[in-house]
Amino acid sequence: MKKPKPDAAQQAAFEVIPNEPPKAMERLRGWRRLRSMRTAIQLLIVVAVVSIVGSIVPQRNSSPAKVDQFMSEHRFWGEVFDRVGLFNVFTAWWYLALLGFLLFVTLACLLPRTRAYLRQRSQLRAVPEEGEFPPLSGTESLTTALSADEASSAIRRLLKKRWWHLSRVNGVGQFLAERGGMREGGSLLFHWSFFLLALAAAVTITTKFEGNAVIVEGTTWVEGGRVNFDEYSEGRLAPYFNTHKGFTVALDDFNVTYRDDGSPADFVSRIRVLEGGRELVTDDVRVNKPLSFGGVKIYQTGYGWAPVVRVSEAGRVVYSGPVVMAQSGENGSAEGVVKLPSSSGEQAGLELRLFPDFQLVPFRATNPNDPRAREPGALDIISRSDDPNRPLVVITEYRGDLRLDRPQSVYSLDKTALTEVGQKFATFPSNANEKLGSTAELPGDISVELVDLRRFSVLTVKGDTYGIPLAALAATVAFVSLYPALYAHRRRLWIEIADEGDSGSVIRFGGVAYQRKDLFGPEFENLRALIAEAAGGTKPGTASASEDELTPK
Amino acid sequence: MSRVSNASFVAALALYFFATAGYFGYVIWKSNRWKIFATVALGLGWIFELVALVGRVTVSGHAPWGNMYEFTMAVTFVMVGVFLFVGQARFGLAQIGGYVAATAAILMSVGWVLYAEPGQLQPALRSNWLTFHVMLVMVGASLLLFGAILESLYLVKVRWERVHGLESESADSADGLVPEYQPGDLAGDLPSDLAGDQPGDLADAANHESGSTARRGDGAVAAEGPSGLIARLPSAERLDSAAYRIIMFAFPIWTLGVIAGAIWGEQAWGRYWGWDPKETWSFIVWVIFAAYLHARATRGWKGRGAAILAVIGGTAILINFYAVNLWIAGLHSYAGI
Repeated sequence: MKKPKPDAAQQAAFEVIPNEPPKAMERLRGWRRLRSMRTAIQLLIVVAVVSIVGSIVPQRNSSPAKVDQFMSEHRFWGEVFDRVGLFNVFTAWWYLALLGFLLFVTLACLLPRTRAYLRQRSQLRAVPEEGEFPPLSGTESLTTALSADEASSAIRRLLKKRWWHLSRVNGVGQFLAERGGMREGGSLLFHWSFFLLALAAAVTITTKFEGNAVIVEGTTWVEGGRVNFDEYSEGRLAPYFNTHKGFTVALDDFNVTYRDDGSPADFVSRIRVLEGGRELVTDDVRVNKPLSFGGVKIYQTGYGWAPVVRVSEAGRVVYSGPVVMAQSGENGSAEGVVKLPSSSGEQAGLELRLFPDFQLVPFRATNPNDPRAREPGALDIISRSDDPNRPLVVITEYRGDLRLDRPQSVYSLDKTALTEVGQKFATFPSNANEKLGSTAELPGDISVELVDLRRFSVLTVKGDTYGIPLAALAATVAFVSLYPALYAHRRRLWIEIADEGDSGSVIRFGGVAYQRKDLFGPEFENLRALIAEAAGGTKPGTASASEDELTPK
Repeated sequence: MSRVSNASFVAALALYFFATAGYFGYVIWKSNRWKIFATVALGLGWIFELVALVGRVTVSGHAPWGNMYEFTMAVTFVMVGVFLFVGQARFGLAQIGGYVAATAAILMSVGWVLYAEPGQLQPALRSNWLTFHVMLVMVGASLLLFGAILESLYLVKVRWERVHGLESESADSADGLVPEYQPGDLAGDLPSDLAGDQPGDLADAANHESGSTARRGDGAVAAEGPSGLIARLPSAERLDSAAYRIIMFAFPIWTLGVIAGAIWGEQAWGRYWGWDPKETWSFIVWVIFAAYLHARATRGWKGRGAAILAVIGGTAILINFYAVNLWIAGLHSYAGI
């Protein structure tokens, strides 16, 4: 009675134990326990459980705002969590140590297995020694009229055609045949690929640099070094492996297409990359389509508004250029500033709020103390979408001390020592009409002229020349080796052809399946018939053809 | 078209409920009429779900995984399809149809609650790698979930078999657990009981049932209700081996799905792995099923231990889909409801 036992023999493959002298046994016990499958399973479970923590507690790298919120809401526990590294689980030393230990245990398991596997492969290429052969009397046998050499080459041809690996024939006409060795080979490769993956991760972390380039339409940006980047970060070894090339990126055009509901459907930067005045590449960069050249990749990350303005004081131009704005979120507007420290008299600061698609709506107070809440018929400005159908800029002038001796935001004014002196509306020349012009006259003889509505594009520039190919190689090896590791099944045949002189020769053979024994029975039957046919079709000898009776010593 | 799709979805949902009843009816009354009714209901429901999927794709213009409703539809479609064409037609596991149909119906009911109008994808979600990634993850998740259902039934059945002293020879006994009840006087009947273990019919279940009736005469065995249903499940060994085959098939698919996701992440955000909650949970699922595959080949873990791991893995898939999408934010969260 046969029941399918697809994996009963699998464990044999995992518990390869070298022949050590008994003296070393004590020391070996701990070692063997370390590399047992049980340890591996327990470690995998621990890794899974610990990873859950990192998905529930907010993490600095993916949601920094939530971490700050948690820290302010739970002061004590926030502090404790921070100390223990719960906000950075996946870079915490104990998490990395856990993964390291898992790799170590894997290594402890892989080394002897790899050695055994290589030994077994080389055994298959060599001439088998007579003494190593199991006794084949009492197994399948048949007599043939062919000479031993003829029978041998006929059978070897047959097996070779059916993808069996053959050893050479020894002096007494014995040889080995094997198939499905890729189960163990695939399994080993699969596990080794994790070391390659770990190496790739280490290379990426230590050698990459990454930062954002903020470029206004029609201007250029130079990849000189960290000062030219926003949010720059680099690994310790980055200067040696991913050097800054000093190329120039020109943003020739930036395009956003909108859907009917005003949400962006697509945004594209048309860029030219120049090096020493020579053009290297011209291409579109969009989300999911980075530009890659010379070990550097450029990604489309974001965009925003950068209206071009000309500010004059008493007829003299004091500022001319784009104002890079931050999305303030308030009523859908964007906000930017122009600081005029050298203004006559007190320092002046201009705050510009852009409503790309403005609309006047009845005022709804979020704060009941707001005086406008009691004013009947008060209106508020909102932007219906980001699509610039009706742009409006609200310009507010402040006077006082800009406090430029302190660290400053480039998107807002430090209003502690400033007072508002006036506010005006303006729009861009293409939308100007008799009610709303493109120039705003403000107190102190300051006039602001809106020249053009442009955008800036945020491009992430990343240098990771070596990490990504390594990771890709590791992933490919892991996936490709997984199939033989799960589906191949190893089986071996021992074949012995004895020359009987004039009466021909006797073929004896037996086999064993190391996995999927349920499949081997029919396969063995089939091979027996094929061998009989190839050798000249003579009577089969002793009956019992069981794989169970013959096991390797 | 949108209305056709929605109507088909509701029809499919209703048919799955009918199929659930039908499969349980088949198990309880052992009549082939029930089996035919259940199979027809499930098959029809599956065709309706196909119509719903096609309609949805036609309207939205993208693969059906823009939101949780669409993803639920795709997952249950694959799961029911796998059960019909592999589980029932090939492995002859009609007895578990009720559990599969019920799971599909429950998931789809939740999906209906989370219904969202067909919409367009935002720029970051339009990528061939992403389509490939979600397709693989969807197929992988459906299959792993199916495997987990089988393993949970295995756990129920193996306990039942142990209680009734019907342990099959390959059941795990190496963990040192002694059967809680082993009627010595019936030991002689055991081989004939197990001999009825043929795919595609209820012979074994019927035999088990008659066995347990005999025992009930001795006044030694527990209540009839649950054990009646459990008795008619396929043998623990068959449940376990079908689950193993399915998980073994699904694991590389899930692996490639995670790899494809990493490639997409590299193209969209410039990093191939960032421990975003969704990534973390797909890693957790991968690790648990990796542990399952190792456990299958380890003495002391094979059987019960491995099955528990598979059930935990199935739970992790559901957490990854529901809890992470609804409560834990991350880069993937804009897929939203």
